[in-house]
Amino acid sequence: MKQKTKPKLILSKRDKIFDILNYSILTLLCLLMLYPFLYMISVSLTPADRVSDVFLYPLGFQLNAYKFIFQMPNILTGYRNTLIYTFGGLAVSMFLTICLAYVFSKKFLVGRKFLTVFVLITMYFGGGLIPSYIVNTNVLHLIDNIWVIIIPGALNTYLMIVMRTYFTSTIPIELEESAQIDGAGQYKILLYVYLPLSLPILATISLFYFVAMWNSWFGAMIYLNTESKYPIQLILRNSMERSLAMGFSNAQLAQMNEYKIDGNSLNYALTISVVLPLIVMLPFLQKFFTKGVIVGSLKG
Amino acid sequence: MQESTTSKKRLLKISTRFKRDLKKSLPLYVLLICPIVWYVLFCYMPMFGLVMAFKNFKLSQGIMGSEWPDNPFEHFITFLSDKVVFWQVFKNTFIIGSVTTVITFTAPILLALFFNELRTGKYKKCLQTVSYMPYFVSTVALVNIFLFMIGFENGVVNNLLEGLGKDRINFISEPKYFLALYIIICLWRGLGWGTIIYTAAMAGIDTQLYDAANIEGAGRFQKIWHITLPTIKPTIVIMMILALPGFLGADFETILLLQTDNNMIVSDVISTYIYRRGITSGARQYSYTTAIGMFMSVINLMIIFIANFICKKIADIGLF
Repeated sequence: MKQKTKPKLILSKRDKIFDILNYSILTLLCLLMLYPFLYMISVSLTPADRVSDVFLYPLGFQLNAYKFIFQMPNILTGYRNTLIYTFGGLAVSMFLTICLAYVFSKKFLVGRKFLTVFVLITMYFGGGLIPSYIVNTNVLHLIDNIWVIIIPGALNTYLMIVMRTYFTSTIPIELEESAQIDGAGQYKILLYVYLPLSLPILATISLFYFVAMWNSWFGAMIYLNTESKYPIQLILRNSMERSLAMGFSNAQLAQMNEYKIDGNSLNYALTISVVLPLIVMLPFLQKFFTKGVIVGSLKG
Repeated sequence: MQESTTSKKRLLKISTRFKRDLKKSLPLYVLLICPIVWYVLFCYMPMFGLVMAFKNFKLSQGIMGSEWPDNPFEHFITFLSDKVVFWQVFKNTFIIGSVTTVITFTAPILLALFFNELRTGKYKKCLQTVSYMPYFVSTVALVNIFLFMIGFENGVVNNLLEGLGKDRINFISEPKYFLALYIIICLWRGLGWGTIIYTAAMAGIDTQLYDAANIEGAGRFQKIWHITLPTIKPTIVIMMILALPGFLGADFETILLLQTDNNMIVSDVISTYIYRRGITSGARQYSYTTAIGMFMSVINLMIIFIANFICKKIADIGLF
């Protein structure tokens, strides 16, 4: 009896050391990951004369940087555009994804093999940047058209397969059969059986599309020429280049002086207003995001 | 006689089933119209557009109308024999790609293993949520945050260096810091997020295995090595196959945003080279850049197929 407990005692001491180390290292790591956010917030709130001393917390407190950026007309239009692109894109994306995933989930479909190959090829091989650019501009003439932001990236094959996997693995076939016996056609089954039963995966997939669209800027940069159509991310990118080069206009500089705003604070205030909407929703919606990754990792 | 009737019956059965399936499929084909049109326009047309690589593409003449040069492989030969520019860019891509892939592939596995050793509860969940956060920061914002943190005049990193009595460093202009900067950004964004898939795989481990190991007197590292790691091995292999093309690629958007004239010697990678020569420069070389892009896509495809084949042979795990 004694012999049995002895190694266990030593072991638990070893375990304790491991735990202490593990907890402190992981806590430190997460604090390190939080630090850029903290620094950014602190700089955005600090008056101009003390910005260069900020290390952890704000030195002083002023919201002038936020006031300043929300006075700029191009930032407000940028926000409006991003909202239009994000929600418009979401609607188009979900429509295409649901249609295709539903059809894909049907084993009896004639031509299913061909469809699978047709879709999966695009996951591993594509035309690349330049041919896509030529097709969008020279063939479809989408240059400076807001649809070029929404349509070409609307369907994500990977997310479509995640949805199909969910359809085939969680919707009981008996339910579908009994709906069929009651006289429901394919569309009714999709609308009244599949969709209501798949709310979690619909939420997950919409969130992924939402985040991708909210964060996109490259398409806007190469296809849009009119500044009033720019999404907020592109405006942030342009303002980043400008303030790195210290390219503020004289009127802007005078106003910044008056408000005691540093260029860095301004830039960080804008960054926070672009990033915050997504970060704030994360703790509440985290389970949907992780679900997406997990369902995606199932093979089927 | 009997055989032929049964085979006829079977044939009849198959054909009636086919008819029934076809009838059931008809309304589904209607649903397929929009997605198929999308795939044709935005996936297959660009793929067809790859013929540009073998032509002398001119905007005014279109993809079909542009002329064929004497040697359709002209553009491929041009860049493959361009030692000064193309192979330098190729080298940059390989250095950035390989170092980053190795680090960003292994780090999440380690982090997931250590997360797994935390007791389940609010604190663990809280730490995990914090680690996922940077994944949702857009590339523009991400690069923005770091560029101002390492800024020469006001940045916190340089303030710290000065506080320690060292010289200020202009990180973004010095080529030798570029790779480290890029890796830090990639890690900050992807480290926590990358653990999710492994954490999910670990959730399936039978706790009895750990109990048994405890009775045997196994230590924490032994348990990780002999129980946790073998369980997530299939996930690791799949993720590895998917990560391998990264050796010859880098995150285009991040690199593009980090590029300055000064660090171009190390930061110019194939994707940004294609972008610069194909879309931004004055004389846009559409056919030439398409050829480079096609060359890289084919290599990527080959890497995936070979990796998949090897993993299937050795571990019996594969993508397809």
